[in-house]
Amino acid sequence: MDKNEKQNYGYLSVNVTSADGAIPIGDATVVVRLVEGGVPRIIAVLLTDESGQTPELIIQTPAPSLSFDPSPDARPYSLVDIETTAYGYYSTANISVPIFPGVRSVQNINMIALPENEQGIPSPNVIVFESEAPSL
Amino acid sequence: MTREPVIPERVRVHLGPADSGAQTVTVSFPDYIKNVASSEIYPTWPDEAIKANIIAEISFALNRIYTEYYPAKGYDFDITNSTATDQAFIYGRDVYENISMIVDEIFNSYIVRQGNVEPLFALYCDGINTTCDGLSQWGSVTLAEQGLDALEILKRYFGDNIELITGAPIMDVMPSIPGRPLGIGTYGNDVAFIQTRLNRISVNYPAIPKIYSVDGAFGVETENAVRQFQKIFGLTQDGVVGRATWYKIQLVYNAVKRLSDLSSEGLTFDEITTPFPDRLAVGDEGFFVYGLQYYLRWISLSNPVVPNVAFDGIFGPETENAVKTFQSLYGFAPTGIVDDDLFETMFDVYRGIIETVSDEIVTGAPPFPGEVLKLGSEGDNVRILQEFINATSSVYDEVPPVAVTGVFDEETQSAVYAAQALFDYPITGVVGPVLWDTFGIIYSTVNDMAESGQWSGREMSVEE
Repeated sequence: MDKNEKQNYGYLSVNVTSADGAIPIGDATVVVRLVEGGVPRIIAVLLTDESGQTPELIIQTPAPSLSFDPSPDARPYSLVDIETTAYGYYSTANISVPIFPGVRSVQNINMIALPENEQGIPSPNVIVFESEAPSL
Repeated sequence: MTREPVIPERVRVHLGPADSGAQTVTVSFPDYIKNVASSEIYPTWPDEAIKANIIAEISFALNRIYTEYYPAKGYDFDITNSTATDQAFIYGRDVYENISMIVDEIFNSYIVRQGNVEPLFALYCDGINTTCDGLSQWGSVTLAEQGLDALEILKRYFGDNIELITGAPIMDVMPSIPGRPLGIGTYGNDVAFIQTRLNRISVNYPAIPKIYSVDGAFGVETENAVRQFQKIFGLTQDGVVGRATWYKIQLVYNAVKRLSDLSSEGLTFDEITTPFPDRLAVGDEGFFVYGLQYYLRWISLSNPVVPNVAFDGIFGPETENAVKTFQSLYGFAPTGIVDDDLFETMFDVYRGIIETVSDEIVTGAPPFPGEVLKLGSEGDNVRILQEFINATSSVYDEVPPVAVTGVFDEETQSAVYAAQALFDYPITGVVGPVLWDTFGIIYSTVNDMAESGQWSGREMSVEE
């Protein structure tokens, strides 16, 4: 991308699958929160389709020029938290997912099935993945 | 160690320094590289800078794997995610679409020092906070903005005596990629291969439409399935199976199959039969030999070094001789045996010939257009085919006439079935060179006779 571009939004798509991508999970609920000033605020609640995919979400970001500067005034990306629940699987949380301007972030989520005796009970256990932006 | 490096299907990544008791995860090699690139650099950077970094990351990882750096020390993983010794890898993170697409194209490319086999231990660092004797991540951005391409950037940091290796073999995962992109009108066993795999994947991903005729001919149905597959797996949606889509289909297919290995799903009949013979050699006869001879005759016409052959469907010494000559001309060992690779090359050469001579042909029926036609095909070639069918229909009652619409619809398909049955060809509904040629001869004859006034249509076809 050109560093002088003005686009100040990026995109997010979430793919929810099980068994390393072999089984797509439809009707999973995906809650996306934008973290601003350390406070997460819900910006979208999405459902996955039969291929396990959410619609594309547009997310506000800082200007592209910041990511071309080795010592920028502000961080060059936005951060979102993604929480995913699906019937029959452990819930997952993806924390601090960086979103860059003009770029589509693809979050693949590999869900783990609940043991049979816990089926149907909303599981209090959440598997947490913490993301991180490149340390440049 | 002189063995050639291969790309592993999967990588075992230790999520911590080597001697820590952290978790080890196993991910596919392209997924590993996508994660590393998304964790190491900004996705907003220019493409050539991103590419240079990805090639360095691939080379680094392959060097670790090739030299068995960790296994040799007694560890049961291939690489760690500690940036002190290896590259960043954040398990479960998001990846960036542009990075992902580049990796799908080039994940089996890496750099070596000239004269060496092993992938280069391509060190890199950010170039601002830390500097090293290798690629500078920030520096690559400046060089890309100055207009350097990925290889030029890499040479700037690793010296002019590096070489880019592309298309490295991939370990026991998949058959090697066909030499041509597969799109509408192509045919062969590799097309059948893609069709069976897409059908198996669509069991798990029902949004991918089923391909009902696994016949090795790439038609509209196959194109739609490929497009939907590309949409789901984040590839460019062009409906053509190039390198990235080919590998992705294999990877997803393997994941899907591996899953069902639990319930021991064996190979199905579909997956092992091929609609075209794997090889043709002296002694073979019949329909497929006609196809081969059809191409050879055209090739001979444009390049008389290749001897002309009779169009008799018999693979005799004459055909063998022509095949051998063709093989020597195009860099194959002159074995006289026609396999998938050779057949594809011949088809490509034929296509090139047809494109250049089509303007010069003024009399007679046009030659086979270099794309197979089947249900769903559209365009001028279908229009010509329909005129062929109607000419044939005027001689043979068995073949019903069709409307000349330029669309290969079910009516056209029925007529093709009927013609294939009549001529004793395999009944596939697909029009390849042999059927096209048969139609063409009938069409020319009918036209000639109509012009000379000796042909009065159906009456003359009544025999017996």
